[in-house]
Amino acid sequence: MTGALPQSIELLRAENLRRTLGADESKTKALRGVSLALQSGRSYAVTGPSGCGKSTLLYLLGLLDRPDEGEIFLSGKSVARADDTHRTRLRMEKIGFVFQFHFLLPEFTALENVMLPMRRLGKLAPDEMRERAETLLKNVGLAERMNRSTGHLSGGEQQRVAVARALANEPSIILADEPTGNLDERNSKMVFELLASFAHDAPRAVLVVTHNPDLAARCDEVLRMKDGLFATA
Amino acid sequence: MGLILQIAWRFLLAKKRAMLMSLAGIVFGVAFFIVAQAQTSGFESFFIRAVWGTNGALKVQDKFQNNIVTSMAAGENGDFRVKLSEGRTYVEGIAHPAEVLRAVRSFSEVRGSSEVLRGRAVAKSGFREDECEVNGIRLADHLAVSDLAAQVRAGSLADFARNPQTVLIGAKLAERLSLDIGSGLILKQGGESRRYRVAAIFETGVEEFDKRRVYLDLREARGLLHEPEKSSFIQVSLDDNNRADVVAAHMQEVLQHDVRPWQKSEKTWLQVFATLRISSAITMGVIISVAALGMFNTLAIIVMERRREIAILRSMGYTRSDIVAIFVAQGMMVLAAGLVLGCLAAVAITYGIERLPIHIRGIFSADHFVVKWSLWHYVFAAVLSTVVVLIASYLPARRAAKVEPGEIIRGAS
Repeated sequence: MTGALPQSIELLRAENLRRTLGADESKTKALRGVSLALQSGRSYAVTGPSGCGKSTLLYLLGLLDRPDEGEIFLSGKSVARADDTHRTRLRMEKIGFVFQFHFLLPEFTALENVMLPMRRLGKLAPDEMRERAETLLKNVGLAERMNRSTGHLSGGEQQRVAVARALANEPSIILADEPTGNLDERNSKMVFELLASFAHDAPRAVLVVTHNPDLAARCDEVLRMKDGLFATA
Repeated sequence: MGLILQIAWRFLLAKKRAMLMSLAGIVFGVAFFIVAQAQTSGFESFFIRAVWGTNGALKVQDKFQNNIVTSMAAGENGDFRVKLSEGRTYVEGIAHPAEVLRAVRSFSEVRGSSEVLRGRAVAKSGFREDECEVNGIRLADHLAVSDLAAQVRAGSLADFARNPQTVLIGAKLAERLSLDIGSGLILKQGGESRRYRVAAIFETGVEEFDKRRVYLDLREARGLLHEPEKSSFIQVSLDDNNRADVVAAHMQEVLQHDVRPWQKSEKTWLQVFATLRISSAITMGVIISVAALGMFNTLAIIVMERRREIAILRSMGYTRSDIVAIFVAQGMMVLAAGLVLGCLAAVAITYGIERLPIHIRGIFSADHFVVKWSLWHYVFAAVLSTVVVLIASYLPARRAAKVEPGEIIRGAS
């Protein structure tokens, strides 16, 4: 990867990632040796046709899945084959996720959803957690709706809650899988700007998997995938 | 743990219908288990209490002598001798009751002992005559080894104690002979007839005793039965009647008299009860297994439906143990409610069954269902249901928590 700013640091590096999905006759080589590095302060877009391996790559980088081959380094440390407890801890402290369908817990309010990662991490006092969650929700324009059940929010609002939740534990990396896939143009723009500002305001990296070429063009770097490989590789 | 419980509680509330089904299964299982236990052991306990209250815990009866013969091996030296037991010779009754009574009372486990002379006689009233079983006793001694005082339905034991010309008579026998308190009664034995008055009518609840038994003063019985010295047996009660078999074995060895614990005397009926208990346990086992299977299915479906939430929580940093704890906590919450409701239902049903009119006249008499109230039934039900729910909630949760979250999210997207 190229284009890193002089002061930026490498937050995540993946080397020769391979992943096969399915079994027997339906086996598909989703990733066929992908390598990349994420630098702090930059945003990345991964684009490509459906089924090219974008989401698979994102799940591997986010330690939600394990590669068949290859290695992942987080802050310089190998994590691809680390035990589940260690990987879970890293997800909690260093990675924030935004999924296409927001994936909020409908049994909880917007505020409670944002507090869930903080409560699990347990670094802040209850009042501090609440205060931080309120601030995050205000930042995504949901100051008036934070005590609503997420089932009563619109799609755009739900996705903004998901963004706030992803930022809750101040992760160094945000991984977003089609974060604007189900949003109208106005909401898409708002969500993307939130994510982009997150990368540029602090030494963090944002990687967005998207079909949206406009959105991709606004990222610092665009990585095009085809048949399980980066097209530029 | 507060966070895990909160998530579990919210998840639980979101699946009210499924959880109500599980709850119903637990309530039903717990209540049925307790009620079945109360019922099954009720009649057995009633029977055992009646036996203890009437015949005591054990009886020291016929004297025996071991027949020992000495065999000589036909070896080179011919001096190898072996003592062989060739059975026992029994002498009916107790020839020296005072001595045996003294020996019996020296056992620390013995609470009370009563010398009894038993014999057959014919009881004759103004209306009819019937066979009876005369039991000569010393009232004070016998009250210490039986529930006779509590079994008296009408009349007075004091009258019996004061007047040797009175009898205590079983309720069924009194009914057959149309006898009441103060009625005259003739006891015939060996061509001799003696006249008595009914001092009290007792009812043990055991048909066999109530339709045959008559109590007489011991000295009066000796005269009637022409038995001046011997006794038939010594009835013994223990501090812990359940240890009668152990104490009996020891006593038999020391006293050289046949000693029969209640477990042996009532073996036939106890086996019937044991068979009924096994049969009931099998039925209960099947029903509880079906309820457990239902619970397992419900929780397995709930976990499956929650796979997406599991993946979300895992992506946020919730560990596999957290996930398992969330679902086990849900199971435990339903269990807690199920146990409370199940126990309350069991109390209500048992109470209702206890008042169910039923006319039993056989090995014992009862006019309503007999149940046993025991805290242990509730404890067993709680332990059993906890184990079942733990397994039913733990297994599917552990399985779901093992899956890599990416795999679930890929399927859910």
